[in-house]
Amino acid sequence: MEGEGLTSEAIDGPRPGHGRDCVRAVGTVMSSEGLTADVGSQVAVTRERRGRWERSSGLLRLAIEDRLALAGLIVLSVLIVLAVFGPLLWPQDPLAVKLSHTLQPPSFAHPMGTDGVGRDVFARFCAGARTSLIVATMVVLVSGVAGGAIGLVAGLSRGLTGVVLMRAMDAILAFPPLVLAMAVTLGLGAGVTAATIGIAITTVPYFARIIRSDVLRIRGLPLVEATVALGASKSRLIGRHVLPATLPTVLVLGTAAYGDAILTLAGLGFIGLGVQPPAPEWGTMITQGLQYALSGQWWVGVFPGLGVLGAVVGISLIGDRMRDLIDPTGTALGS
Amino acid sequence: MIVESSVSTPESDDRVLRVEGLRTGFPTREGMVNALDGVSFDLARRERLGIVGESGSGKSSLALSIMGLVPRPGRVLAGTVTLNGRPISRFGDERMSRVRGRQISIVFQDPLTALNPVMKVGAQVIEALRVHQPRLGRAALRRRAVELLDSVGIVNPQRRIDDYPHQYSGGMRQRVAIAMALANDPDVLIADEPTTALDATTQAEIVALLQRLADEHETAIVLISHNLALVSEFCDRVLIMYAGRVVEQADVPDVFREPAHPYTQALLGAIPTSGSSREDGLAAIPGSPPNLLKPAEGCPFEPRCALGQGKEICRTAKPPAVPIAGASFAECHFARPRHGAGVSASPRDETRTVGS
Amino acid sequence: MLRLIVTRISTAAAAIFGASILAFIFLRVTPGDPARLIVGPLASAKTLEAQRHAMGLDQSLWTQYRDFITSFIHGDWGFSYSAGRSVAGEIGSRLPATLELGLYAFVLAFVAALVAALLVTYRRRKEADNAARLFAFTALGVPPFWAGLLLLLIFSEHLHLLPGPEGRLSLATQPPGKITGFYTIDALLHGQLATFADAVRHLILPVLAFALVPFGYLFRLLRANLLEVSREQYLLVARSKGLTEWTAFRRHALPNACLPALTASGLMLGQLIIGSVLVETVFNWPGVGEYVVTAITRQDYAVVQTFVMLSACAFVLANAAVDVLYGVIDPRVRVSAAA
Repeated sequence: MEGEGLTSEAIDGPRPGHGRDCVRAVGTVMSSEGLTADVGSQVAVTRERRGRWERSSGLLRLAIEDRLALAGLIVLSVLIVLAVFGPLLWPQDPLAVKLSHTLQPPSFAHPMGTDGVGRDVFARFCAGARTSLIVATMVVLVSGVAGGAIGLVAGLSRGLTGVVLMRAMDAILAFPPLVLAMAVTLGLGAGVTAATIGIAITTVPYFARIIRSDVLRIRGLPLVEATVALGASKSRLIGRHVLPATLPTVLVLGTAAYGDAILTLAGLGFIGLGVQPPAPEWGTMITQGLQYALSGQWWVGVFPGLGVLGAVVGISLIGDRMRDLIDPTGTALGS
Repeated sequence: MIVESSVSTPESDDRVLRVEGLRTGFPTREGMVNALDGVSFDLARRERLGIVGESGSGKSSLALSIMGLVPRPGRVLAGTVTLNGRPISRFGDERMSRVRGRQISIVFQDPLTALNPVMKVGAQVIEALRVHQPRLGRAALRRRAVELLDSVGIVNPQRRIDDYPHQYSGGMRQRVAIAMALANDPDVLIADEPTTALDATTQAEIVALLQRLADEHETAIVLISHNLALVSEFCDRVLIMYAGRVVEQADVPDVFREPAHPYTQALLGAIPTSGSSREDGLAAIPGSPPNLLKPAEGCPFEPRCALGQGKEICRTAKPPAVPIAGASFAECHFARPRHGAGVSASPRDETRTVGS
Repeated sequence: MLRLIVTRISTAAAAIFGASILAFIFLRVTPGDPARLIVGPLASAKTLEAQRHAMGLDQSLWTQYRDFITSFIHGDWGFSYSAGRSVAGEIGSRLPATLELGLYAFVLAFVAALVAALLVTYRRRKEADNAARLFAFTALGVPPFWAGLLLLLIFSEHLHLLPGPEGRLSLATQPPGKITGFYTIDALLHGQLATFADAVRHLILPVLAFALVPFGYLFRLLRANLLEVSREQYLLVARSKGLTEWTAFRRHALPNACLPALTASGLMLGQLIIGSVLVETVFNWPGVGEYVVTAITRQDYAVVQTFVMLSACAFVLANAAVDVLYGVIDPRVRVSAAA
């Protein structure tokens, strides 16, 4: 595969004889400053064709059996609840400046204390959770769809289109992800939308590559040739055979991308290129927290970081468990 | 062969290897899998012993247990292994490592994974030498390694000694494995399915090689295989294993003419001979392999046994080792000694010579 | 072998070319007027025009791109008005600080990851597995700048064991004469032990924060490799030859497990780049990362542009070099590349 040194294939890379065990627990993909969950690259499921709903609920059930994955699920759920219902349950306004109450340590009135201008940190924490989770969701959705489309087209194409598309992916992969996100946000003007777009752009190639390699493999299967011989139309082929087979891989990659998006967003916020103050975001809150580190007001910066850590580790554990379930041995469809 | 008195002494010098009551298990989430359920046998110097069984019969576990290489979390649960009079089953890894490769060696089934792919072949052969002969200098080691490669039939050994394993074919790599195993002139060589992964032509070559080397080095060989024909060609005596036990022990000519255990009979029936016609079909052994998690109360072969299936005694009582002739025996309720007249010796009696 | 090198270099070149187009698009062809940013909102239209002309913004896109590329290749990376000197000069003088930090961090990360992976895999236990997973994910999920904050809070502010965000040395200490640019090495070379100790004390916390993510990544990698390699048949064969368990492991399993960690080196460089951006500001560390972050806040875009291009080049070339290196080490790769 072209551009090998830059992708997940770099790890499974140029080593014949290890192809069978491509999971290696290291098909790591994302690399912003957080290589979160790993992904079984080139993986598909050899399962009987059950209904998609049945399969995913089965996955959910099994995910719960694993204690760590369960813990991850709980942490993530708590964050979601805080994000969604925060403003309903907790009356403090994340933006309300109150100069008489600056830098108060955690208390009942302010469970996470107040920041340098008297805003309630807990309220800002919840708002930050909302931002991070929504951005990450958008990133995964957008890059999943876009990357999937690109991968699909590239995988099915037999000519220049495929080559050009993958070269474009290589170009994106030439950058350390945070750097590219920085460039995009600078170019488009710092803010949450630009940040989302920037992070999404850095994530697209991973989806594209995985989908493309799956499509390539499936394309060559006897099953597919038979279906074509039976006269199935191309779109029907794609819809009913190709796409569903790639779903498990995409799911696992999605969780990895989700965690990385949260980390990158925080990183961008830290530099000042992401969400702009006074809007609350975990990264910018940590930056503010740095100002007060040496004077002992730890709560300003520590809590938001815990939020990031919790969200990322939570989703990583869930994704890891999913990967185990989907493909513990690394067997691929058709191999 | 020396004739031993009937009183067995604790250390019979003619028996280079003694295995007594060996039990090995692998703990799993569902319970302890009994890979070996009480295996006993002897091996005389220069003897060729075959061990035959299907997958899961425990033959590979037996080899690993003797060598002290049972992979964790499995372990030897009971029994003793005595090599040259020394109780190696009680040795720790440190002591055992001095025995391995020096007094007893093993060759494994898959030659393609037996060598470290990023290390030169010569270096790995030299390693086998250097472990037990640390005083040898580099030049001497290299010379000896070239000799070894030559003795196993590697052409142009001076050049090939610096090659990497992927530059060798499967057959050649197996030769290297044999060379490494025999590097220090061990008394016993265990060959665990040495030819199964090779094509027919290479199989024959490797077998011939083993025969020649065994004679030259005066090494006793334990040949483990599922291939009865191979064992019959090569060995003097054979053990038939099933469900972790030795269900029959016999001299090779006898076991083919008059197999005493129904399993052995079924195995022989399953071999297509040049005389059989296509209409006869392949006589497969019906039923599925035994459950090693929950060993049967009675005879483990009962569910598939043409003779004993469904019979009360076979279902409920473990069959004893019925002596057939000399040291041969079969664990079956319906086995009877050959030649009628009671040679009421126990299977452990060593009044008869071996391999005569 | 040669074929492997050629292939990798051409792929790398293509990737850099593509990357340059991307960088150009985002950094030059964007809403917002770079010229306006430089001359300021009060400048007259004429000054603005002059500035635009000077920056070549009135040329066609293609010409602009060509100039962009040629000046980059020639090392003319523009003038950094936030630093008051050429971008190249400033980056050059700041590089040793970043390298010193990154190098120590990477070494620490590798050693720690190896030790941790060995502990978890040599005698394998079920509980250890879960703990290991959690451990790795935590290391990978901690934002490095937050780790820096925590470390400062605990060790500097609370325990007063280590210095705060003062940069590479205490205010009172003079840097040693420059030989390598690494304060630790230079101080030793000059025999200035007190300076050496001071430099080390200032390195501890930043290195820890920096090493966290590479550690997590390497730990997962090494653990997976060790697990796989310990199942390899040749390990069993080595033991059957008479090597003790540990010797066999050390000689056959360990090297083969560490080898793939080499391919991670390319990605580690990416980590270095990102890490420097995220960690240096926390400690006021005068490296490239801090420079870039400051440049962003001061809108000194020449710096950012150069940084983006440099990162891409370094990243791509490092990955290519690692692939080639791997070909040197693993003989099978050379065969497959030629195939």
